[in-house]
Amino acid sequence: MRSTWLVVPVLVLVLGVGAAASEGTWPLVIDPANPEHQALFEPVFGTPWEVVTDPEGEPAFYMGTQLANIPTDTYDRTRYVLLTDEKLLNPRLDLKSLGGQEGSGNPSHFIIFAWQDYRNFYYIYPAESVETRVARVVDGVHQTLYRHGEIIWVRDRDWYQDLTLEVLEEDGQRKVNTYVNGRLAMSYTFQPGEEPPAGRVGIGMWNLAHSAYIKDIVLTETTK
Amino acid sequence: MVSRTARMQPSGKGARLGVLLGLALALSLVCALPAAAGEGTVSLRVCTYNVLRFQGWPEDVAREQLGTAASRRLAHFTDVFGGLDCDLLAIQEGGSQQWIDRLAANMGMEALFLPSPAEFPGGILSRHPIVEARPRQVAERSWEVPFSRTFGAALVDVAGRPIWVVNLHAHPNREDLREQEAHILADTLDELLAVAPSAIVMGDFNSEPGGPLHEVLVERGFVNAVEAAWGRTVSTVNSPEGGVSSASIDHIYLSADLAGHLVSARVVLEPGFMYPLMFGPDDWVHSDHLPVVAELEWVPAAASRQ
Repeated sequence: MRSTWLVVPVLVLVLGVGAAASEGTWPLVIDPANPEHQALFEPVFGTPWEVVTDPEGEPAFYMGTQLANIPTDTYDRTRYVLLTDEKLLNPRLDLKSLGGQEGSGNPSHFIIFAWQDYRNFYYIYPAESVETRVARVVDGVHQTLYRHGEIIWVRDRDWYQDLTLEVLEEDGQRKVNTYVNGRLAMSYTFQPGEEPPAGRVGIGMWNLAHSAYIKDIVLTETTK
Repeated sequence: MVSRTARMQPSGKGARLGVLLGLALALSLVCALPAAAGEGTVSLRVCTYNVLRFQGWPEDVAREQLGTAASRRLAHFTDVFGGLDCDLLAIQEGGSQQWIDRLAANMGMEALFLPSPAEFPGGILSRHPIVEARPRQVAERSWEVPFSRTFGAALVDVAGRPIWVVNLHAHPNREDLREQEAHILADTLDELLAVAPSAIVMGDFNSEPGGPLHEVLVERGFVNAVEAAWGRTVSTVNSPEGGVSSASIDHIYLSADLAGHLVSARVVLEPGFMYPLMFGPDDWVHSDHLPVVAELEWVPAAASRQ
């Protein structure tokens, strides 16, 4: 049975991380200033991830451009943080992203889902590039499932932008939607045999190149 | 980079040129074409402004004085544009769609965002309804393609008169790309003018009159507003040595049917826009460019028959 959470800042302070990750109801609403919430993130292979004060004076997570040492026996272009150890079949992840001053800012993101281990996961790639895509890594081998071919995201170092991953089941088919600033920007229906399993969710960017402030993170599940 | 101390003590040819140009241009501010204001007329103030991503200039000084928080900068530039009081505004280096949308919302104007293959999007803001939008679509990210900055058009209904507003930002240094941009402008204008004959083409041409973009317009009967008002061009770029440089690269062109309604045109040289001739270490201005403003008035056809 899937555990449910209630991660409301005041309650979490009382319940602690363990209780927050095992009891309560959806959605999981992340407060960057809350140490209990900070502990729900697992940066992989040295991915930079810290809590900072953003340009508007509010707490936010920050992914810098520092190198993460991703093993070479998998897709190593992205470094990422995993959010909770809960495996979700149809996750929905909302976040706001503001480009950092380091590197190129935030011209793209990798939103990870169905993560099993570092050599097996899926991701969407909203980007300031025609390489926008839905892809997966199977036993360390990268496979593009769908190449969207259009720019759906543009970097912004002044204003936060909304980004949403939505995996759902519709008319008996599994699909993944990408929303940018509230608008459906990319959608893909998985073909038989390539449907994502239940797995962990993560937030990533290009290794050594991009940086962003991330906040207003909300994780929920669309359907069981 | 010029040191702060050096900039505090401008000297040499550049400084003298800046002083002379500044005086000449300040004088030009008090001149204008004969006004034609009257009852029942339609007045239209048209502006173009390269806003340098709403950062202020020089950027290091502006960063210290204005800060980097977007909300504060938005409030500042809302005041700046409020002072210009434009009915139609073409923005170059407009930061992002959120900048254009938020600025328009603050000013109660409609907005058309114009994307950029590079990092220089633009926008068209209008107090009149935008009835059709034709932004140039971005298919790839590149600084080295025609209109890598921005290009697009909006059809605006000005008191019953449809007018195309074209905003362009040409390539800064590659003449071959500006040639290609001129071809695109020509093709686009021919399409637009077949829909409605009135058009205003404005923006950062990154070139003086006589270049290929300008020729496309002249061949189609367009008139440079500042040239029509003063018989010459006026510098539109601030100089790091104080005052303005000699570059006249921001322009407003009016189609032949609108040119006859031109009342005045000018480059805005007021404090805050023009870099002071004798500047101090804390002096900064809204942008490295200066706004160009043209004012038009006409009597609507229905009113003229009465």
